[in-house]
Amino acid sequence: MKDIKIWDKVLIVFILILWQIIGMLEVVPKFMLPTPVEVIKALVKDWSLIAQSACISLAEAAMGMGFALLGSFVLAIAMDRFKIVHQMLFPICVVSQTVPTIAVAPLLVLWFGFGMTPKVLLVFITCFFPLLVGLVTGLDSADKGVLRLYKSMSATYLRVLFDVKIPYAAESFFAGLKVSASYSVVGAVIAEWLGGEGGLGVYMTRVRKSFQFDKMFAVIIVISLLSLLLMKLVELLEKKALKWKQ
Amino acid sequence: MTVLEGRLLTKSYDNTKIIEDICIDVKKGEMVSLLGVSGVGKTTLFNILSGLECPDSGDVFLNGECITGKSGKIGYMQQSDLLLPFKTVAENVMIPLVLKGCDKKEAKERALAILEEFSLKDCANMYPSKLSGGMRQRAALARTFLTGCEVLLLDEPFSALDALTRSKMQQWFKGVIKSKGASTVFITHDVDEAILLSDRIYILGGNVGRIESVTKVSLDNWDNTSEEFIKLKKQILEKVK
Repeated sequence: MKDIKIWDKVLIVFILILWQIIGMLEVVPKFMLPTPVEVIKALVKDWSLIAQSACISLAEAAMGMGFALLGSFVLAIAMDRFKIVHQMLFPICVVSQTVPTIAVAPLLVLWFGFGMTPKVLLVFITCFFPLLVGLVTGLDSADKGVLRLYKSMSATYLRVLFDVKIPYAAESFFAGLKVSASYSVVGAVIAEWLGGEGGLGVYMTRVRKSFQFDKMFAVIIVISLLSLLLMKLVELLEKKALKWKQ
Repeated sequence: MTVLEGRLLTKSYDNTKIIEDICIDVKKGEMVSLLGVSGVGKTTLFNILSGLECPDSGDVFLNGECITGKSGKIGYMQQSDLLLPFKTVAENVMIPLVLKGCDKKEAKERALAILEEFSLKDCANMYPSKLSGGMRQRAALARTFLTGCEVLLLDEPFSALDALTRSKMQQWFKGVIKSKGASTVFITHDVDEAILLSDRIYILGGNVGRIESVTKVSLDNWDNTSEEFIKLKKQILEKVK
């Protein structure tokens, strides 16, 4: 098992070396494909600006996620409690997912300007659905026998919700949260592409326009790392919340 | 004195009659079993007696009070132990008390007391996944006791256990029920178990579930290889057919 685990790292190192060699041999023009070393240099050089931009994007992502969490909880519970709400709204939520985020972003900018609102809204739209699906599926997965047991003891809906349904939904919720966490940063960056005062998306647009592809790759790495970091954070939370599974 | 009484209970699902005109009564401190083949409507009858479902006709009385369709009046332990995997054993056992609005500290104390009685105190802070089948059943039974209900319905409480654990549990169960003076009705497919644990055995049969006969159990020798035991078993098996 340990041997298998090491191979993915070996592969990454191999790709990086190959990339460095291709860059050094200038198989692809240097301004189009900078070498990993050049990317790292760009990252170090522009670190303060990238870090500042990352803070803005993270703030947008966090706000969007926060609203998505709140909204998905309220709607999932309403869907669980009233089947008619589920029948009415769930198909609309599914259809809404067929609309690509990138197509919605310009509309949001048009409606809400270049401030923070369209960014937060886009993150909300991106994160809401995976969270909602995770919660709806999870709430529905509660053991039917346990629900009958609670019913036989005349438990109220709220008690069943907090005692049974939400704990049973935890696993599925965290699966949705992991997906949403990775989407949130990307959602914020996409929204920033279309204009704004700061953030990784704005930084990306600026360096792209000035053909500074080393900085472009540097910011891509930062976005990936941030997404990975958020996913790890969710994993930690999951471990803490589902300690009975260990 | 009759504690629980089901009068002329009839129930259908999708125009198919499952049970018809069932009359059943349980006296104070009595252990009654329901014996019958699968699909004869034993669990349906339990759902009605516990108030989880309403009968199409007939009524259920508890100490003379009509409780038809009212849940929470009778303790009900379903086929599997239904311990919540994310709660510790103590938290699982105290559920009925918490639902009744009992203070959490008091509920925990009472849960620990009953767990001690059921030889499970050492497992109080464990999650159910760490317990053996027999221990889980005991925990589930402890939880059913803490409902504080006068009558307990137990749906095949030992069906998931292996033969050895089952035999041990049956002896233990009989002792506990008698010491607590609880009135119980339990479902079983096992004739030996029914004879061993019951004061009376209701036999359900027919295409539509009906009470075919009621057998009073009074043996001098409880050994299941004794002539007396085997004779009674044969009689019951004849009726089940």
